[in-house]
Amino acid sequence: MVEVECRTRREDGVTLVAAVVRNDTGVRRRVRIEHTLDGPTWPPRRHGVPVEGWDGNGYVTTVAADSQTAVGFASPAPPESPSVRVASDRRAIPKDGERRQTADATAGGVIRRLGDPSPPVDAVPAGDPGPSAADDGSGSAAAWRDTGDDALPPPVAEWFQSVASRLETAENCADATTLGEATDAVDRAGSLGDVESAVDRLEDDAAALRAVERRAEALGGRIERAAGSVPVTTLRALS
Amino acid sequence: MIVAVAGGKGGVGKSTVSLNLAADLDAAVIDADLGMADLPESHGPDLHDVLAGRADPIEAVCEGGAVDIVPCGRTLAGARASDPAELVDAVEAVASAYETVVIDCPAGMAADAGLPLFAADRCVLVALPDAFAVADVVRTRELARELDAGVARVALNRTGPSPPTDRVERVLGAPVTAIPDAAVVEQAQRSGVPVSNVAPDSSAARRFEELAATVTAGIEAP
Repeated sequence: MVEVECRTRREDGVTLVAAVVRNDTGVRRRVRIEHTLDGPTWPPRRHGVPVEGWDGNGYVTTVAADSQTAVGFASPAPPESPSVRVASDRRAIPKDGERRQTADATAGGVIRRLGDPSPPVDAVPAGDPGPSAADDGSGSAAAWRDTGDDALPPPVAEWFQSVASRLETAENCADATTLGEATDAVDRAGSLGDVESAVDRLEDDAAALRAVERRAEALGGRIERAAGSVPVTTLRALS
Repeated sequence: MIVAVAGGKGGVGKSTVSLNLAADLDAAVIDADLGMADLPESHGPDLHDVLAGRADPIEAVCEGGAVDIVPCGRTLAGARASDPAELVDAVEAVASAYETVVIDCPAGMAADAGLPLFAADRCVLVALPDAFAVADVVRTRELARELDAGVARVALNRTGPSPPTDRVERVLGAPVTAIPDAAVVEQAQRSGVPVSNVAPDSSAARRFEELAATVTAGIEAP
């Protein structure tokens, strides 16, 4: 059997858990460590991908004979005593070829080894119309059309996007007909408070959109009238 | 069958080989260069949308051109919002609908170059006939081997009258098809079509056909 020694501390609203798994037996042990916290965990990451062995609730590792290994993670949930427990502990029996098959043969494994290719956030021009923050990936194919207008100045595109995301939150909640759907819609928005504030602001959004429409139309009209009538050649000759 | 078209360096002609190979294999081609896409774009959803979960891989396939293409977005924001790990599932989804898929890989040795090789059954390495470019391909070949994408063929691109085929075969340990340096290839690529569309009898078109035949024939022993 392995023994786990766990230390937990709370810092700036984050619980930091550090545990040492000690194997005093003379054989290799395959161990699964699970957290006991009431909330999500943030596992250690390499190149943005959780290190090998982590899933939603715990960490699977092999501890060599008469050896020890360390496990650490963070969580927004308050600490428990103890914060981790041994969920399973068995003798590790390597099968032929097991090492090769389990050696990170996943897309996440490739990223862990070779590095995340995404451009760093600093490289993305500010206000570059990317996908909206509220887009959790469940959007339909129509969602890409909303973000595709390259002609919009970035701050305008950003504002349109924030209106669109509030509208989407409201629509999701309005479309929900069952308790499950309603819970999903609220979860996607973040919390009930987020839904309330989105709905509250939609009325102002509608007024602002109408004002933008009026102003855009007036300016567009003035541009059309002015574009043809500026005597550029004459001005150049005079200057 | 999923074929990755890879090569360590940028600008060696991976996109040209991908487009022409896909045309000859009657395959769909995926532009997997998330940061510097090169194949023609479209007005529909693209690979950035697919990898960000905003579009289905199949609806991102742009049909109606000379070759069915999954184009890639051009913005850094789109590249940043993409989850590169999703590429493997996306490629497999397209392969299940279109049977044969050619992936145009990005340059370099980071995960964006590794993931297409991880998804692929085999790969074609693209090299230019100078020693420096071949050295880059050696590194990509090692990566392809580690990720189980056997090297089906080396496309020695933009070769002159006497290509160093034997030497490259010796260095890379894989059979080589030399693609001649022809203006017609470049012109076709600029128009987003394979060379077989504009000059079906050119020697370049015949070499691409030969390349496609050897890729389908099976993986040669390295």
